Amino acid sequence: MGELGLVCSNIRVTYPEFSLHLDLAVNKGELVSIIGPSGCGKSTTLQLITGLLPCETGTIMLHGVDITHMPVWERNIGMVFQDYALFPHVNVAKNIAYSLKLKKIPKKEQIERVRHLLDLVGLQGFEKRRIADLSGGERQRVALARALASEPQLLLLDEPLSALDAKMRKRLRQQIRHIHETTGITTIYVTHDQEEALTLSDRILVMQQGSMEQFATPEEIYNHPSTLYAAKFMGEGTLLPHALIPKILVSIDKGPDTVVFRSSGESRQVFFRPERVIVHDNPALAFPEFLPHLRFSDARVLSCEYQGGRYLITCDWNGHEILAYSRYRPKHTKVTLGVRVNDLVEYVEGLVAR
Amino acid sequence: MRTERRVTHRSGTIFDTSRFYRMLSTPAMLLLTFLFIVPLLITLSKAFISTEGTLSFGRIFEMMRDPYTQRILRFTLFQALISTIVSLAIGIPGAYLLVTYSFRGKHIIRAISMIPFVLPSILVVLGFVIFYGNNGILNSVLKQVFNLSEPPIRLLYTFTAVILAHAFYNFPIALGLISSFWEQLPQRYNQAAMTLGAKKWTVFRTITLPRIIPAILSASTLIFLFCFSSFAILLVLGGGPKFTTIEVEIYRRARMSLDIEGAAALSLLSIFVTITLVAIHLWLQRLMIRQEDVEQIQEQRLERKPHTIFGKFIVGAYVIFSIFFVLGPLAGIVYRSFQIPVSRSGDLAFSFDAYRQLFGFKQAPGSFLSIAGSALVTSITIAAITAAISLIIGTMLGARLRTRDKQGNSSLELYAMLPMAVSSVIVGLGYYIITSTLSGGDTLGRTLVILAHVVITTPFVLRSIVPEYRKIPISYSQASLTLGATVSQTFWHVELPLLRPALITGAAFAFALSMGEINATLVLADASIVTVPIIMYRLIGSYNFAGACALGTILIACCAIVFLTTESLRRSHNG
Amino acid sequence: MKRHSLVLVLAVFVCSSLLYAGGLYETTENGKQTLTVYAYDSFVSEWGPGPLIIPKFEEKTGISVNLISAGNGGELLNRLEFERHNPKADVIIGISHELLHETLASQLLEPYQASALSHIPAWLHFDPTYHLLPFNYGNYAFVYDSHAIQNPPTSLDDLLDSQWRRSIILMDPRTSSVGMGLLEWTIAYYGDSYLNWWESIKPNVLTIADGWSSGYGLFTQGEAPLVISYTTSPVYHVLYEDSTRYAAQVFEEGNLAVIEGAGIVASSQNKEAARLFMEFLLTEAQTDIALANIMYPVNTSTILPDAFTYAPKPEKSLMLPSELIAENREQWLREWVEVMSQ
Repeated sequence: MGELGLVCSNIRVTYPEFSLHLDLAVNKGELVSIIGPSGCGKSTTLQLITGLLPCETGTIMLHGVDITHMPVWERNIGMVFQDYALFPHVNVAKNIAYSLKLKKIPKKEQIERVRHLLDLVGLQGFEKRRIADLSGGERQRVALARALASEPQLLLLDEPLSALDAKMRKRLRQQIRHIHETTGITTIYVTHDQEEALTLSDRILVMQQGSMEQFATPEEIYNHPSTLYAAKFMGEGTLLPHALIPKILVSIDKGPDTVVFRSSGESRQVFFRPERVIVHDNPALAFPEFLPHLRFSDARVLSCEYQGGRYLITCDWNGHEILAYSRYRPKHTKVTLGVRVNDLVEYVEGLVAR
Repeated sequence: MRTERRVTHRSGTIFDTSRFYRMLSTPAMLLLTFLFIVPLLITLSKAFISTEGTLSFGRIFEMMRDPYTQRILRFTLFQALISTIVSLAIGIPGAYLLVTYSFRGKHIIRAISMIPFVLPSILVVLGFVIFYGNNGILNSVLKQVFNLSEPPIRLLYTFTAVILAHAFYNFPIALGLISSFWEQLPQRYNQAAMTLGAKKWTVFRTITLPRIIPAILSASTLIFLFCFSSFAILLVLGGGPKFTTIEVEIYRRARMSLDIEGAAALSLLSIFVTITLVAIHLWLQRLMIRQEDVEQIQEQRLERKPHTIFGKFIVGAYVIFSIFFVLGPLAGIVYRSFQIPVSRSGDLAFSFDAYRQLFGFKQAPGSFLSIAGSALVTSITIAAITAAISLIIGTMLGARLRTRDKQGNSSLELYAMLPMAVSSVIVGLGYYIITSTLSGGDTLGRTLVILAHVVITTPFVLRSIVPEYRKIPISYSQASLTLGATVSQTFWHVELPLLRPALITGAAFAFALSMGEINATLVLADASIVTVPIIMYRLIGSYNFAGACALGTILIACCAIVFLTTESLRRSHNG
Repeated sequence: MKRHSLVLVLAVFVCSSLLYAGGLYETTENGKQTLTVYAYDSFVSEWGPGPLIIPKFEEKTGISVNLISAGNGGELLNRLEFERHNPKADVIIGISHELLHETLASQLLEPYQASALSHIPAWLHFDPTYHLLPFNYGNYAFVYDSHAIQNPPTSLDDLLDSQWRRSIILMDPRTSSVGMGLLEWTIAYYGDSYLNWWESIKPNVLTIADGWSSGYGLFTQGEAPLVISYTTSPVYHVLYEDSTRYAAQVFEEGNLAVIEGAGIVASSQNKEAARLFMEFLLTEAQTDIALANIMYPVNTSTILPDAFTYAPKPEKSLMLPSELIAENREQWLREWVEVMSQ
C-alpha cells in the first residue's frame, strides 16, 4: 500500500442529471484513469478536485492536507483541459511560465524551467512559437508542460488525447506514460477510450451516472469486471443466460477443475471475452476435448471482421450471438466454439456473483 | 476539430460565487443609478401630479386615452419599424459581402460607415439636404449632365426621405454588428449542408440565417430605439407635422409649453414602450443563443476575391452604393464648408474663409487657441475621459454579465441599456432639476458633462464588450485558476488581453459618440464648457452655415481618424 | 497588462484633475462682487452679444459677471422655477412678450423702472408692471431669394397663390418660436378663420422644419426661395457676406412683432448690481446687441450701421395680448396640428 496521494471521502453532489458519489483513494505517484461514457460525471469529478466546483459535503485530502475549502489557486493542482485552454495572446514560453510568473520566480529560473519542460515533452526550441501555429499534438504537449511548470502535487488530464488522430494518440500516450514515470507525479486521467485506460493506468475507475462502478487494476477490471456495465465498457464480449450451461457443458472426468453447476435464477448471466474462445472450423480435425468446458456446436458464422492480425467473428448459435477471435478466416460457415469455465464471469442483475 | 464541452452546472461555478466579479459591477451600478435613474425618476415623478397639484394617476390615464397620443404613438412605432427593416435590408447583404469577400477598401468602408451614427442630427439633416436636396449636389450634377431644367430626383420632404435618412444613419450599425458576429461563425455547418445537396440560397436560409439571428436582433433593437426617438430628421425631411412622433410632443411640452408634467407623463408612456422592447429583445436573445461551438483554432475564414463577373459586379455595386449612401451627405457637409457667398451677388464660391474665420477669429477667453481650436481641445479631452471611464465601467459590467445563466443578469443588462431607451429631453430635464439644487460652478458643470456622456456611451461599450466576453472559453479562465491565479489575476492577465479588440472598438465608439453629443451637453454646460457640437449649433443659430459645416467637417475627420485607427489596431491584433 | 491598466487609471485621474484645476482657475476671483445672468444660448454664444457687452460692463463697473446659458424661452423660466428655493440668478435675459402672463404668474421677477425706459417707445413697453423690460425687438417677415424671385409676395393672402407651389419653408410652432410667431401672425390678422389660411398654404409649403436653424439652412441651400424669418435677416448677409441677395418683405397687413425682455430675479442678493446691469443693457449695450443678434435695439438713440437700412420697417406691427396667448396656446397648436397633418 503506497502512501496516500489524493483521498476524496464521501463526496456527494447532486445535479439534475445525476448524483455524484465519490469515495476515492489514489496512492502517491499512481496514474489512475477515470473512464465512463459522456455525462457520467468524469469531468465533474475533476472540477470538484480542482475546486472549480464547490463541494457540498465530504472532504478532499491531498498528501495529507485538507483542501476541501481551499480556493482553486492555492491547491497547486495541475490540469490539462480538453481544449487545452492555451492562452492565445502569448507565446509558448509565456504560457508555460504563467504559473511561475505568478509565484514571482526570477526570470532566469523561469527560462531554465521552461526549457527543461519543453525538453521533457519533446518540444525543444518551441519557446517563441505562437499558439495559433501549433498542431494538435504540439498544443497538447505545451498544455502538459504548462500544467507541470509549478511542480504540482497532482496532475489532472481531461480527455487530453480525444482531439487527436489514432497514431498521434498512441505516440502521446507513451509520452504521457514516460513523463509520469519521470516525474512520479500523482496523475488522474479522464478518458472514454478503454484502450487508453488499459495501457496507461495503474488503476482504473469506471464510472456510471455519477457513481463508482469499479476501482481496480486494468487486468482486474478487464478480466473480472465487477459489473456488467464495466464488463461491456472495457471491451468486447459475449453475454449469455446462465441456463444455457447444462446444454453446452462438456463434462470432464478428470482434471483439477470441477464444474459445479449451480441452479440459476432467471437473471443470472455469463460473460466471456472473444479472445477466450477457441474457434474450431475444420470438422476433419478433432475438437480439442481437453480444453474447453463449454462447447457450442454448429455455430453459424454471421460476419468476419479483419482487425489486422486477427479476425473478429460474430456467430449465431441457437439464436445467441457469440463473439470470438480467430487467427484465420473460417473456411466454413459452421464452426464449433469452446470456452473454459474459468473464463466465465457470472452476473446476477448486472453485478458479479461468485 | 473537436468542440469544447462547457461544464455549466446550476449549482454555480467558482465564477458565479466569486466576490471579485460581484464587486466589479457595484461602482458601475452606482454611477448609473445616480446619474441617470435618479434624474429620470425625478422628472418622471412629475407625471403623477395632476393639474390641481395633487398626486394622481389622472394625467397619465388621460394621456393614454387621448386619441391624438395614440395616433402619434402608432406612427412612431410604425416609422421606427419600417426604418429598422430597411436598415436591415441594406445592412445584411452588405454584411454578407464583407464576410465572404475580401476586396480593397473593405476596412475603410467599415470604419467610415460608423460615422453617421455619432454625428449630431442637425448635421445629418443638413448633409442630407445638401446632397439629396432639390438644389443639392446630386440634382445639380444630374441636371448638368443630362441638361435638365428641373431637379430629377425629388426625394426629400416625404416619408421616403425620412426612412432613407434613418437607414443612412443606422444601416452601418446593422452592417458592423452583423458582419462581425457572422465572421466568427464556423463554416463547417454550411459545408456539411452543401455536401448534403443544399444550394447556396437554401444554405443561407436554413443554416446561416438562424445562426445570425442574435446579431440581427441586437442590431434591430438599437436601430429601432434610435428611430423611435428621432426628431429633427422626421420634421425637416418628412415635410411636416403628419410625421409627428412622441419625441416631438415631449420636446414641445418640456421646452415650449412649460408643461413639465405633461412631458413627464408622455415620457413615461414612451419609456414603457421602449423598455418593453428592450426586455423582449434581451429575452429573445437568450432564447436564441445556443452554446456556440468554440473553436480551438480560430478558423481563418477564407475570404476570397470575387472571381465571377457576377460576383465582381455585386461587390463593386455595393461598394459604390455604400460609398454614395454614406459618404454622400458627409461629402455634402464638407463641400458646403468651402462654399462662401461672394460679394453682392451672393453666389457661392469656393473659399477657405470659413476655416480661416474659425481658427483665426477671436481668441477664446483665457486661452491662446482660437475658439474653434479650444472647442476642439475641450471636445477631445472630454471624449477621451468619457471613453476611459465608460470603458472601465463597461468592462466591469461585462465581467459581471459574463456568466450567462444567472437570473439577475438580464435585469442588469436591461438596467445598463436604459439610457438608450429614454428621450434625451427628459434626461436633460432631470439634470436641470439636479443642477438647480446643487451649486458648484464650473467644476460641477464639467464633471456633470463628463458623467452624462459616460451614461450615454456605456450602453454601447457594453454592447461591444459583452458578446466578445462571452466568447472567451471558460476553460481559459479555469486553466488560469488552476495555474495559481486568483479570479482577479485571471481577469487582468487572461481575460482583459483577450478582450483587447472589443475594448478598442468600445472605446472608439464611446469617444466618437462623446465628440458628437449635443443634447445633454447643451443642458449641462454653462458658458465655460464649449464643445465642438455646441459651437456648431451656435454657428447655425447665427446664420453661419459654412462655418457650421466647417466644424462639422472637422468632427467628421476626427471620427474618421478614430475609427480608421481602430480598424487597423484590430487587424494587427488578429492578423 | 496590469501595468498598462494602472497607467490608464492614472491617466484618467490626471486628466480629470487637470480639467478640475482648469476649472478652478477660471472661477473664483475673490473680493469682487459677482452678478449671475441667465440668458438664452445664442446670447451667450461666441457670436452673440454676450462676449461683446460683458467685458465692457465689467470694466465700467468693476462688477464681474457670470453669464450662463440656460436654455431658450420657456426653459429660462423653468430654470428659475426649479431654483426657486435655491436661487442662483440675479438677472434673466430672453423672455419674450408671449410669456408675459406666465412670468407674472410665477412671481419670480421683481419690477424695475429703469431710467433708460424714457428712450424706449411706448409701444415696446409690453409689460405695464415693468417686471420684464424690453431690450431688443424685431418683426417676423418672409425672406426671399432675389435670384429666384423677382416679384415677391406682398401679403399673407398673396402667399396662397399657386405660383408659390412648394416654395415656402416654414417652422413647426410646437418646436420653434419663429413657427409660433407665424401662427400668431395669422391669428392676429385672420382671427378665428386663421385655419383656412393654413389649409390653403399647404400645397405651397416645401417643408415645416423643426427650428429656425434648419429652416434657414435649407433656404440658403437653395431648396426653396421663401422662408419665414425676421425683417432683419438681410442685414446679416450685407454685413458679413457683402451680399444683397436675400431680402425681406413687409406685408400690407403688417408683420408680427417679437419683443424680447429681461428682468431682475426677485430673490437676487445683488439688486444694486442687477439694476446697474439692466440700465447698461438698455443703453450702452444696445448697439452691440443689435449687431450681434441682428435685431432692432429698443433704445431709439442707438446708432445703427448702414446695413440696417436693408431691413424694411413694417408700417404695422401686430401683436397678440399675452393673456390670450397663454389661454389658447394649447388649443391653437392642437388645431394647427389637426389641419396640417391631413
